[in-house]
Amino acid sequence: MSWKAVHQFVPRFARGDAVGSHVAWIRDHLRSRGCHSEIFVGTENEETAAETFYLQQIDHHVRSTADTLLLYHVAQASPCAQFLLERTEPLALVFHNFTPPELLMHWDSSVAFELLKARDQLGDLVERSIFAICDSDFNARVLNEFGRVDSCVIPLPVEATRSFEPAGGQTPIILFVGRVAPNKGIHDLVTALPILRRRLPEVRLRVVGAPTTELYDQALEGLIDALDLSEVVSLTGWVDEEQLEREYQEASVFCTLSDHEGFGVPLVEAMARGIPVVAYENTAISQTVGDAGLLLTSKKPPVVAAALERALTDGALIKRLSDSGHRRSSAFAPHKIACALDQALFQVDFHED
Amino acid sequence: MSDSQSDASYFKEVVAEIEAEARRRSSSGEYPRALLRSLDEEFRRWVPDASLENGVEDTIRAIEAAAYVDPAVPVSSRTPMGRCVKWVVRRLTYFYHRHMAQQITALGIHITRPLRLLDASLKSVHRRLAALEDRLDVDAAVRSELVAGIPTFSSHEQFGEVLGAHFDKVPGRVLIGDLLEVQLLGTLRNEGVDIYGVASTDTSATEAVDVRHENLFDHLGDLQNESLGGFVLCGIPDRGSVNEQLRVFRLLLSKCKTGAAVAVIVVHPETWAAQLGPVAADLLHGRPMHAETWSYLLAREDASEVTVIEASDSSYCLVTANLP
Repeated sequence: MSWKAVHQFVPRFARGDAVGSHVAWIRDHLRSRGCHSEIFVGTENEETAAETFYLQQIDHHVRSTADTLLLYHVAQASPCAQFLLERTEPLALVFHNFTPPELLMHWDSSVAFELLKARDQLGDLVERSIFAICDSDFNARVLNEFGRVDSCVIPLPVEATRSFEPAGGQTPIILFVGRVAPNKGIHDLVTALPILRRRLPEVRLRVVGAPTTELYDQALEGLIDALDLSEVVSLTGWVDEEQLEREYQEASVFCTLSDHEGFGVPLVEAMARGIPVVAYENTAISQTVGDAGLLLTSKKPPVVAAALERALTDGALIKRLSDSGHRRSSAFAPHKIACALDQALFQVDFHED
Repeated sequence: MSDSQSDASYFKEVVAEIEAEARRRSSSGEYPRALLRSLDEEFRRWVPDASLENGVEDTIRAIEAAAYVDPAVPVSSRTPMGRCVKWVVRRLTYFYHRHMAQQITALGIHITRPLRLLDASLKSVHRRLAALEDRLDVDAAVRSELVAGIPTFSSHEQFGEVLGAHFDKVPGRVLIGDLLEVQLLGTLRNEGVDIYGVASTDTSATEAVDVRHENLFDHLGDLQNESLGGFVLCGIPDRGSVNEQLRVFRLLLSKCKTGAAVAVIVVHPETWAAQLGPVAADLLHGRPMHAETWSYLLAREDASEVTVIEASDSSYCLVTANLP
C-alpha cells in the first residue's frame, strides 16, 4: 500500500524519552519521503505542544482519505485507544510493550491499574489493526498473546557515535540510564556496591533518569543512606540531551539489572558509544544486546559486583566489549531502520480479513 | 567463526568465570554472611505492603495510620449549597465525631505499642544472630582453602549399577548433591533414573545432565516438601561439619515423598584422616560420620532395607535405604 498520509498517535509526546524520540524520528522520516505526517496526543504536554495536536482535533487539521494510515504507539493506557477504535481509517500499531502491573502494584497502584487498563485496550486494538510493528521479538511474542495480527520487528533507531575511552587512572563510573522505577532494578545495582567497593573503593554509580513514584524514590534514598553510599551514588533526575551525552562520555561501564525491557534504548546508546555493557538477562535485553555484552543470569550482589569488577578492570575484556558493542549498535543505525520501516509501511500488502 | 560468534562464546565464558568467582568469594568468607544477608534484607524493608517480608514494622505503621481517625469530615461538594449543608452538619456533629475519633485513635496506639516492643526485640535478636554468625565463621577463608584441598578419595561411579537398581521405581525425581563430579550423575541417567544434580562448586557438567550450580542448603530451602522421589547425599558427608551433615539430612528427608529411596555416599573416616593430614584434620569443623551412624540415623526414621556397601578400595561406603 502506498500511504499518502501516516499520522501518529501517542498517549503523551515528550522529547528525550524513547517513545517520544521514536515518534519524532518516524514523523521526520515520513515527511522526508513526501508523506504527510502529524502527531496527535491523548494528553498534551506544554513543552511539545507546538509539534502536536490533541487527538480530537484530527478532523480540523488533516483530511482523511483512503490512503491515510493511523499509527498508534502503544506504551500505556490512553484515551487515544478508544478514539482510534471509533475511527474508520486503517489502523496500525507500534507496540513498545508496557511494564507488567504486578511489578508496580506495591509501589503505585494507580499506575498498575492504568497498565491493566492498557492491557484491556490492547486486545481491542489488535483486533482492529491491519498490522503491527514491534521493537523486538520479545514484544512481538507478547503482542501475539493479545490476538492475531500481522507483525514485523523493527527496533528503535540509534545513531552510533563512538566516544568511549577506558577510564585509565580515573574514577571508575558505573552508569545507569532510564526511568527511576522499581522494575528497573536500580536497588539491585545499589545493593551490589558495598561488595564491589571492597575491591574498588573509588567506584561511583550514576543513575540518570526521571523519577516515577515517590515511594520508590524514598526507598532508594533510604537504601543508599542505610548502606552509607550517599557519597557513592548520584541520582541526577531527568537530564537534557547535552547532559546525557556528558554522562555517557564519563561512564566506564553501563549496567542495567532491569526486570522488564521491551527493547532498551539506553543499552544501544551505550553500545553505540563503545561503553562496555553489563546487564541482567531477561525479556528483550538479550535480543537488544545480542552477543555484545556480559549478560548475567543472577542479580545476587556478589555476582553483580564480580561482573562489574571485571568490566572495570580487565583491559582485554573492556576492549572486546567496547568493540563488540559498537559493532552490535550498527544493527540499529537509522538508515537501516528507515529501510525496514519503509518496507513495513509501503512495500508490504496487508490484507484485512 | 565470525567476530560476533567468537565474542559471544568469549563473553559466556567470562560470565561463567564471574559466577564461579562470586561463589568462591562467598563461600570463602570474603563477604561475611551477615553482610550478604543484610544486603538481601535492606531493600525489602522499603517495599510497601510487603509486611510478611519486612517483619512487622510496616504492618505496625499501616495499623497506626489506619487507626488515626480524622473527625473533620470533608465538606467539598459540586455545588455551593451542598458544601454549605455539609459544613453545617459537620459543625453540629463535630463534638460527637471528635469523641469517637479520640477513643479509636487511643485504641490503635494501645494495640501497636506491644507490637512495636515485639518488633524491637526481634530486631535485636536478628542483630545478635548476625554477629554470632560472623563470630562462628572466624577463619572461614582458611577452612574454605582446606575444604578445597580435600581430594575426591575414590570415584563414586562404581556405585552406579547398585544405585540404578535402587532408584528403579521411585515416586518422583531424584536429587544428587552436593556434587563434586558429574560422572555418577551421568551413569545414573544412563541407567534410566530421573535425576538431577546440585553442585555448590564448579563441575564439568555438560548440557546432557541437569546440574544446578547453587548451594545445596539454598536449593533445599526453595524446594517444596514431599517433592522428591529420592536422594543421593554425597560431598557434604566428606566435607561438612556434623551439624551441616545432620541439617542437610533432615532437610532432604522433609523433601522426600512417602516410599522414597535414599542413599548416602560417605568416605571412611580413617581414609579421610589419613589423606588429610593433621592441619586440615584439626582446623576443619567436622569429620565424616561412620556408615554405621548413617545406618542408625536412617533406621531411626523407620527406613527399611538399610544396606551398607563398601567400595572396592574400602575408601567409601554406600548406605542405601527405603523410607516408609
